[in-house]
Amino acid sequence: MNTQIPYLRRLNNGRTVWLDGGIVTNLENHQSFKGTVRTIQHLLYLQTVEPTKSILTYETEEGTNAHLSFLVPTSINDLKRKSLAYKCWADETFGVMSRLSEYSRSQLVGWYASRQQLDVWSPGIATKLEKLYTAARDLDLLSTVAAHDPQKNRSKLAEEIEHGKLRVVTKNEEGIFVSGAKTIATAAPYVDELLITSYHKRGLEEAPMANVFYVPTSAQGLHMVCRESFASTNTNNHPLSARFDEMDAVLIFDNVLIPWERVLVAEDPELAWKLRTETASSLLSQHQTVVRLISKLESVVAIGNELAETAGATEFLHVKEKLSELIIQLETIKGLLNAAEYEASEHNGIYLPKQRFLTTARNLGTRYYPRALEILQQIGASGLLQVPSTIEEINGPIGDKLQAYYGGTHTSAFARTKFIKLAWDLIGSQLGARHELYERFYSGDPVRTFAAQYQNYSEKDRLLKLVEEFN
Amino acid sequence: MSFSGSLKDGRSVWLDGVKVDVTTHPAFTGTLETITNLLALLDDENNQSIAGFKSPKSNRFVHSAFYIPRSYEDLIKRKKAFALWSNKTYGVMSRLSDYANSLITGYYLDREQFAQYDVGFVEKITKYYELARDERRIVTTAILDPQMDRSKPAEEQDEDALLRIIRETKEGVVVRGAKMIATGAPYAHDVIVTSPQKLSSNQIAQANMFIVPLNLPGLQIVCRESFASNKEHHKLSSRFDEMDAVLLFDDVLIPWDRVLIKGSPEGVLKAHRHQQLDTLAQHQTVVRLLSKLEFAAGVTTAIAQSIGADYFLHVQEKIGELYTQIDSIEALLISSEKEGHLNEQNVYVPNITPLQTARNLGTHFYGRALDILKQIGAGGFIQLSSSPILENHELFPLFSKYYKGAKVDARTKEKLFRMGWELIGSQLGSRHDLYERFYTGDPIRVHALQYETYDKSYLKNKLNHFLNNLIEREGNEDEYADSVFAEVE
Repeated sequence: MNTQIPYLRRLNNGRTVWLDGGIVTNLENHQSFKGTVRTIQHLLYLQTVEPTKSILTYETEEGTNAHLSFLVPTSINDLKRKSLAYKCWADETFGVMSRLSEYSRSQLVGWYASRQQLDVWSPGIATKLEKLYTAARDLDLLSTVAAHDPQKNRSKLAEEIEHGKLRVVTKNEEGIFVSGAKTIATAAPYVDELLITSYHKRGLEEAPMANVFYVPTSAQGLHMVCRESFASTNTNNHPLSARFDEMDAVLIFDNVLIPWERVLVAEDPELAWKLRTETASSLLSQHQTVVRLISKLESVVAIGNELAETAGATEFLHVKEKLSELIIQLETIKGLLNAAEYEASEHNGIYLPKQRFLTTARNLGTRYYPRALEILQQIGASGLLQVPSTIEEINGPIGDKLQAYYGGTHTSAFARTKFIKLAWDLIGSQLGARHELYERFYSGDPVRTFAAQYQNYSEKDRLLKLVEEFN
Repeated sequence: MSFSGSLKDGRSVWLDGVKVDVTTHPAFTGTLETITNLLALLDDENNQSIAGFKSPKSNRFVHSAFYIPRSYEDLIKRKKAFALWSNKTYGVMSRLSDYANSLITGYYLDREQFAQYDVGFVEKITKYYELARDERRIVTTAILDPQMDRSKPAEEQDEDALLRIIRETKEGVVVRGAKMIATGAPYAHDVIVTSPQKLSSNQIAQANMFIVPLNLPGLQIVCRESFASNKEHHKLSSRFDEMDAVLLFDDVLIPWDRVLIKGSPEGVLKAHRHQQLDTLAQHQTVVRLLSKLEFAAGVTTAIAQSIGADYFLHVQEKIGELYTQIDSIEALLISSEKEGHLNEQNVYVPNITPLQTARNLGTHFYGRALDILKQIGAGGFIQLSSSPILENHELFPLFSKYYKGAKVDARTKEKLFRMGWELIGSQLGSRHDLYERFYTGDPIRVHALQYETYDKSYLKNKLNHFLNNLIEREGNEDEYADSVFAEVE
């Protein structure tokens, strides 16, 4: 990765990040962003040193190293390597950073790998994809995706709402000019470029909104409007919030020029939908989300077990049952990931994980995580509140008393408090609440994603045949 | 000898107050025919190499539950045999002997581990393994003590609550007491009898493991009420009531070659643990569970479509959930097979964690599947005519008009709802709901067992790594930021 520009320099490229009414000019020193900036620096650093370098990167045909999210998988083993790379970053961030670019990169990899097929539909797209892919890979660019229209009046039909949606306003030989909003761009303030897609299937009347393009976060006229920050500056007391608030933003485009070489689809509902549902792109990106879910569930089981052990609660049958439920969640998703990889099949020369197992894992995740947090609450109970306001107080004026009362069954007051701070950060902090919401909804409206499983299930005919033969 | 003929062996099967001949009694003949047909697959040229393998001794096809897997492919051979039977019975015959036969195979493979508890174990299990394999014996289990007072520890239980040896003779041991639940006992040749309890050293008489022929004098097989139906439109109940029985040992002489462990609390505990963790046998239960969930999901899908209910988003969501059940169990099955390993006996065994996970999920999944089937079929289940109205019936024109569905005619819709009703409303159906919740044991304890046996060390390491790095990283932040630039510039 010789060609890449240092992360901090990229970060200060003039992007417009709005927080608390002002533009944040110096993210690496701003209290709401600096912890996460440091985390990303750390993750990038891991790509350059062993043993993580071999886990995270591969050698490209040109002889340079690139992150494995860019690898076009041509075997089951390649998929496993990608898994391990995803797992490495996810583990480093305790499973609570969801959009570390691998997801959006995988979408690009899928399209890139299928570029010849796509070129039949849209001549010229293959060349664009090659350039975008090569640049992203060789410059190690960080990216995220925003696909949805802003949430306004969901009960109205799409065509009834005129304003607010991102659309093409004008175009010239340079490119298209777009205005309007897209949501939710998780991690947007931290990345180099944004992939803008169109989530819903659109009719011809919505053609101006049917676009797919890449835009640098520094583009003129692009405003990234952040939600309230959930970041903390105290790592000991808020070990997750201080480092892993990935931020969510609404993107407001005010007549932004997107050069043609970055425009994959312009005003073309059919092609936008084609890209949105393109198999390789979907499956490779979904693959990453399941690996990340596993890492997060591992963190949950570890916390649940530690909560129970340090409170002497593992003696109770019902507590063991609850802990086993957490283990079962984790092992079910692991089983689904394994099966998706082992049953991978070749598709136009690339290996793709088996769809139905990924779909199931993602759907289960929307229910598992809220339930997991509930179990953590049940096991942790009042112990989650039985900690001094800051860990430093353990060594403060009444430290000797705190040390006597705040210990666990086999851990010191300091260790137990430090651990409870972590558990609370996952269960009770704003960051924790945001994650519960995230898991429920990041893959879409869960009612619709379960319904989609019904609509698209590959085994449905086989099941119906069973019934037919029975009678 | 025919399978049916082999059951005319002097056994005492009690139903509705009388001793019955299972080969002719209407409560048993439907299921008997089903089992006969399944066994016939071993002699059918097209199926015998799927259902079985050639016994090295008799050179005749015997069931693959006895097949010793040395590789992943061998394990898949076993799976295919299990799937053949469970698909033909829609997963609703749970104890078709391929489970208990796998247990026998498991005890046989690990026989040396039991030599310390009973000197005769190795020789006896070897002999029995070969006998059961080559004679295609149908085997079941009866492990639990009668449900009397569960709050008391074993040593305070009523004397008759635990099966025990009351005397020994030259021929064998004489036992008295009861065991439950012997599923499929009227159709089986032998039953594995052990104890689930941790017995104390003064309970030596109760601490045994037997493989008891079900025709021994004094052994009373007491059936529950029959859920079998003789009505043709009860397609499940007329073919698949496997029956459950309590075994009363009224001073039964068990010959020595069937006494595998005698008077060893440790041995019995080990045998029970072995059964609970026997992956070759668990493998079969997960294959069967998958068949059953597929059937339930298929019926639900067909019912929803037949009345156009699948138009609704929330109905699609619910059926989607049924598909997640199937995919989860199938994925865990695949995972257990692919992530299997060769053990010390050079046997390729499936990975236990995915199997345990699948079995524990199964205790919740099936009840939930029935719940969804009820929510979707709703009043349609009780809108069925008492029995099918056929073409020549005077009501048929009205029936065709008022009982039809969205895309299906009245007859098709009726058949679907009758299938659904058998799953959710028949006595057989209710029994299966109960069965799936409890067949692995008390679900709370089986869940607890998964927690206890799970390797948590990697999670502890993860947590420690995370908590410890907190401070290290905090202290070195400048140095570490510098190193990033050093590397990339």
